[in-house]
Amino acid sequence: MENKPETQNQYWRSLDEKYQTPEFLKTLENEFQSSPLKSEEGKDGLARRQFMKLMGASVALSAAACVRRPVEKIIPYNKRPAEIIPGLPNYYASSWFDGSQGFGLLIKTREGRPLHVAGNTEFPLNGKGLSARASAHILSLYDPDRLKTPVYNSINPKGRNNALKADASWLQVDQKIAPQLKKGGVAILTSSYPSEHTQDVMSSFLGKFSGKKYVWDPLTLESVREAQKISYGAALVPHYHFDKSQLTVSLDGDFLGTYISPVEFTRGFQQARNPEGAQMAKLISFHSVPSLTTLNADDGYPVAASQQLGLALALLQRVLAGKGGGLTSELKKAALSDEQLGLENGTLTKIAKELLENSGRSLVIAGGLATESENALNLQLVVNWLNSALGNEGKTVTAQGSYLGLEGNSADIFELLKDIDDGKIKTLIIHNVNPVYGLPAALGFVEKLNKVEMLISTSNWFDETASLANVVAPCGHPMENWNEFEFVSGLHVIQQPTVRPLGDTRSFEDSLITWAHTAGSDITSEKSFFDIVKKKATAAVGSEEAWYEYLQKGFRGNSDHSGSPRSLSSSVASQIRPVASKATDLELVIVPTVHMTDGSLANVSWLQELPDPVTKIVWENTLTFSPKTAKAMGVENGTVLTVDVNGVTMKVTGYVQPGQADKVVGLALGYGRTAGGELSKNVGVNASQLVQVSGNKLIYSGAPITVKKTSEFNELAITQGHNTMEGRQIVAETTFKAYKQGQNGIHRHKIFSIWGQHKYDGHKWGMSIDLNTCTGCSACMMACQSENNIPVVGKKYVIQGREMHWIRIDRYYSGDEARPDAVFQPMMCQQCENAPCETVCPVVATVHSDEGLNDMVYNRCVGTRYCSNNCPYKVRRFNWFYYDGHHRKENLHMALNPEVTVRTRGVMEKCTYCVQRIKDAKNTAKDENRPLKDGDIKTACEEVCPTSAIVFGDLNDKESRVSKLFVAERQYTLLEEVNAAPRTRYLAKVRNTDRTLGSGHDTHAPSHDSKDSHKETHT
Amino acid sequence: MIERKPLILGDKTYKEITDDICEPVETKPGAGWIALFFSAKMLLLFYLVSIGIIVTTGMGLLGVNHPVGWGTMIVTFVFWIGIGHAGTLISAILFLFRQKWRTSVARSAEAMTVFAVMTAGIFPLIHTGRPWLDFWLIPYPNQRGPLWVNFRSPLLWDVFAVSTYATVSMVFWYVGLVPDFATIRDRAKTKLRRNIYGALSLGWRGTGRNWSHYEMVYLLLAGLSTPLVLSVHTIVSFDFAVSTLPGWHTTIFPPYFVAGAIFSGFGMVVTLLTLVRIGFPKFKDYITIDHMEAMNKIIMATGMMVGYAYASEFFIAWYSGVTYEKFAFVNRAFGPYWWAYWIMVTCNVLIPQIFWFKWARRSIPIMFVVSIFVNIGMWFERFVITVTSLHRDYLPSNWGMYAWSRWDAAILFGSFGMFLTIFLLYLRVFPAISIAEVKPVLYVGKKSKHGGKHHG
Repeated sequence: MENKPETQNQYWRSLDEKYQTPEFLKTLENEFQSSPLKSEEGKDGLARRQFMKLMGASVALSAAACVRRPVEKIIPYNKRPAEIIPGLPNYYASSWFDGSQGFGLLIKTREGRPLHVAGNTEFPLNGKGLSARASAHILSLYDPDRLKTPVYNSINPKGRNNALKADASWLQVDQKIAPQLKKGGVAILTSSYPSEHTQDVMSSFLGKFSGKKYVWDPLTLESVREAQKISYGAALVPHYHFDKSQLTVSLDGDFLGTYISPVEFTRGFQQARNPEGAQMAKLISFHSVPSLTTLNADDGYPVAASQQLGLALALLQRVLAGKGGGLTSELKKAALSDEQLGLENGTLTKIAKELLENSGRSLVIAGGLATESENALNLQLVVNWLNSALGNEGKTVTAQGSYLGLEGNSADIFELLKDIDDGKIKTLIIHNVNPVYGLPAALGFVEKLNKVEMLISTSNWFDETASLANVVAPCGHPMENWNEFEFVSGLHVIQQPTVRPLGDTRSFEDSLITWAHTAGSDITSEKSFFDIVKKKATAAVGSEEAWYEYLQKGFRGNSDHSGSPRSLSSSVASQIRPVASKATDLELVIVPTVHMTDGSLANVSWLQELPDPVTKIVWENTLTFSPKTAKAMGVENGTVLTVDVNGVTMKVTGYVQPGQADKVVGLALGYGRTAGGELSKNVGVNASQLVQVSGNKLIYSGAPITVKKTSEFNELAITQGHNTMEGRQIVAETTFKAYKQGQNGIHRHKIFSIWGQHKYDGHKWGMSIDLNTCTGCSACMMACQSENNIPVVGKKYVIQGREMHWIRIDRYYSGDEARPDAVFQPMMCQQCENAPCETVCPVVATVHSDEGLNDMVYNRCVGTRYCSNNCPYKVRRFNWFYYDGHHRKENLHMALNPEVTVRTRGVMEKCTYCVQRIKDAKNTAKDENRPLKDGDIKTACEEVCPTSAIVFGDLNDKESRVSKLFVAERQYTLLEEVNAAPRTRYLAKVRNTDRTLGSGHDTHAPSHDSKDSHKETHT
Repeated sequence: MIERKPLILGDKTYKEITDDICEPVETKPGAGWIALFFSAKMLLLFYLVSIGIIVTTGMGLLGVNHPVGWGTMIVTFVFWIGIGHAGTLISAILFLFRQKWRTSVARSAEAMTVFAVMTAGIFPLIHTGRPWLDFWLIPYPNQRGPLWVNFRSPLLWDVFAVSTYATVSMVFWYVGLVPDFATIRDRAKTKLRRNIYGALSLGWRGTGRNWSHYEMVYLLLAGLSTPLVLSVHTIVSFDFAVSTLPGWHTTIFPPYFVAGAIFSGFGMVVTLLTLVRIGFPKFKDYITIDHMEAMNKIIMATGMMVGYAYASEFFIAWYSGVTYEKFAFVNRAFGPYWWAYWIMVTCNVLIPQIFWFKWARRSIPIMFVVSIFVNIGMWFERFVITVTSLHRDYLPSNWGMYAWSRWDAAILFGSFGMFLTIFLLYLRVFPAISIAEVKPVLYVGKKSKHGGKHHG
């Protein structure tokens, strides 16, 4: 069959055109010229009157020093698509897969373009919750640096580094690739991808060309799978049930931030942590480099990465002892004591005891890059053993509902390299991974690529890998393509495109189908990948009708977690072969961060400017040190250091991280991109270059590193420079024990006012934020950014304090800096009743609405900034420059929400409680002729919060959730004594620990009686 | 009875007085003046260009940020407004108290007031995010509803206070100038000169009726200006005092600001008049060391008042028991901006103490140096109040530092270009000492030519 080229027929409008007469060409030239100077009467020179008019006008205009507003035509739909009503949004159920975690999404579109992402409330995994990345990935759709056409690289024979880039058409690309495929020896290097259909297409494609698939993920889970295989027989990533765990012990397992499926885990975790109940789950964290999980721990203990296994064995030893068993003498030797771990004597015994008390409802978890050391497999085996010994297997850890498709394996990389060496691979297709960026140079991946005849990349960006490829065949954004995922067994979720491809891109699967077809060996009888997805899904759901229902609902099936516990293989003990860690002064731990993870979305400015939830640094990754180590080495925030790991050197900036283990340095992955987008270029350093190779494994954790100070200083952009509460009641905090005895940790003030209060006949909006369930994941910040058209200002201006986030997450430490407690506090406009901003604005640009909001009138604002000065919470943001889109690059303006004003230079802005959503919900209720219900209005931040920490509603409705929370025991008003009377209130944090909070430190003592507790300290 | 000291030295006749004072207006400027004028003018042009760039590019060029929403512009605004206090104080309050020594310095002090207020007035206009909409701060009938201004906002009170003060002090100054303009007109040798000064003198004939009306108007305006001296800076201080910010929210601000304003105003008068004495040596007979000494006494007195205010703020912050207040003041003295605080204390409280010594009060070099320190100290006082209060307030998560940029420096120093350019022009085109007021005090403290005491 021949591939049909696109429109070849030439139509002509007249014979003149057909014959291309000179007269015709001349009219063609003039046809669309609207300039009066070229019109009929101007034939003999300039039309005099027109000339006078134009000159007069232009003189007037130039004298007035202004430019005439350009003519912008708006064109109505000639024929309106049935589903589109201009001005009204459409929502599509879809999904997104982010490395290891899958989301069910509800994508909001307006006039055919996706604008905002929310969680699919009914989807069992993430529910309404999203991660910061899931909210932000919409911006990558509009990324101006995304490839718009396929690219053909003329590869210089001397090496792939000197490729000449040229845009190509799909026809050209397909015809280049097809003959190459016929030679055989085709390989596909891809990431984990839990889509059965994609995998089917890939395997039939590879079948046709005697090819082979290699799977690799930067955030690998291989030791988990391997350990599961040894322990229980099947290599899988088990499902963890944090909602059923009363005591979770994490060994560098950042399950709230980056490990496997954080949003789902966060939901479950917080479900078990309701302080109003009789019991509240507890989290104990052992960590080398603090993560989001660490900062949410009730008790956290810094432990070097090289000691993880010794610690796990010590715990196991004590647990087994409690059960009347024991370890082999060899393993006993490897177990570390409290003292060796730098813990208080008896700590481990106490934790083991607690674990035993919670047998069957506890969970020990380890994993993530911080555990990918030489002992990664051993650690996982010990963890499995612990969970089995504690009876958690089958209860909090189940094989049922295991995460599918997470099969990335570094062994595949080594195999691929060997196969290239052996000349087995003539064509290499790289999809959805960026090995040139993500693999250490020491592997020689780039040099090996020269042995491949044709390298094809399906990247959407001309990134590190794509720039070395002969052909780049951009696969398009997930929002442009069809697919269907099965993230956990039994649960299928559809990925619906919500926009036609913005560029000339084609999905990976369609590319494979076309290439096979062009090469003469069809792999499917269907026309496109969509047809495959539709056919198979329709077959699964039964009928065409059910297919449409499925599309509406977004997912089908459910994950079944019932089943009997697996029994631990008796050989586990013999399989644990501890590798003695090399003695080193300083060990390197490479960690992913919540927002950047593997760096695949590094060109999304929102994510670059999202403060890392732990360090609060933007636009940079840093080498983190414990305060003690930093002091010993003379490192301060911003000190530029030269590091050397096994001969690989780079310059990186130092940062002092409270709570980090001594003699450990941490470095975040995902930065230091060198290609693939203007924004991400040279932001931070590429940590993956420091990954070590050991046999068939990549080692992320525990490599010896030497650090040398330089005299340079690199100012870090830190959005929160001060980390303690200075003894003020900002985050009220109590312990679970004290709370049960009636101490809520809140000091209430007696407030009286000589003024009357506002009266509200209709609605009276209010918001409650639960500091106990907030984990600081920062998803709300991204949702707000997307909803409210919040600009990004860049590193330079963040350093100057000009970031624009309407909602920010404040993070405070208390206690000993070596082992601090952390709290998070989302902070946005508190919509004060006695708003200090309102009284001081000279032009009444910020006013109280009759529903209690502080309305900000952008039109009226002249920008005195008095309101910001007078705001005790400092939540107002000022447009220091034009951020409003004059200088937005192409396409990026399409990500703007048309329902929210884009602010111009010189005006103040702030959180509005998503007033556009309030209006929208009111209109809907009115259309449906019913009163507003509680929950009709969801602010953007509330909508995506995985733990429902944020609740918005009507305070005049006594039955609303927020009304009830306003009279809750833990409710308090921030800065109550200022009597701004905010209508956002907080619920106090409850920490499930036996320690006394803030003893000897500057935290707010629960009683708040003595004035001496206000000890001023500085960090 | 204590012997009065002569207010005018050198045994002058009325004619000599007129000649001396009119000399700068009637002669060609010397090289020194030209050099100064061109330097000042260059600085002014630089200032205008800087303002232009800031207005067209955005406030982000300056160091203002989150949390420090007000910076150099407001600091310098309050600084210049403060300077503008001495003039009216000298001409109005001292006039009402019949302090005859004021006559020789009143004219220049008033001129300084007017120019300082003009310089200050630029800042509130350009410090807004959208300066082209500044007219929205004026309550005028409009077609937006009508939409009025917010009468609760101290910034609006500021608009009224500063514009009233500027108007009244300008009228007061001008009225005082009228008889002198007539003198210059009468001495004019060219037609152009005669016409210009003739127009400026508003048809002054020097008749009894003229003088009678003049004296009455002058008295009334003095009475009108007197409360303004107190009210302007009181209201400027409300910008801070009415807010919720720890470090701003204090009741001591009105008197403290007024005292500080008079302090800085006299500091600037001394700076300028020492220079005028050098530039126009003949003026030494009119602006005598006794005059300078009197002003130095006021500097010392008001400096101590300001010092008292500093101390009392600390006491009240401690006494109030409010965490935030206590922190704000500890942070001023010992926080990251400790240096600004101690520059302020040194310049404003410690250095003027040298005026306890008579030789220091009467030494031109010493008083010049001290007055410069006073100017620096008072700029830093406003910096301390504005920036160090804002940079660390209620929530430690907000804390940050002012992001000082070169544009801040351009604005600060450029404003001196504006002030000095106008002041130097004034010295050449207006009589810098009031001829009409000096003549009546010619015989104060002198043996009369007729042998008896003359009570002028």
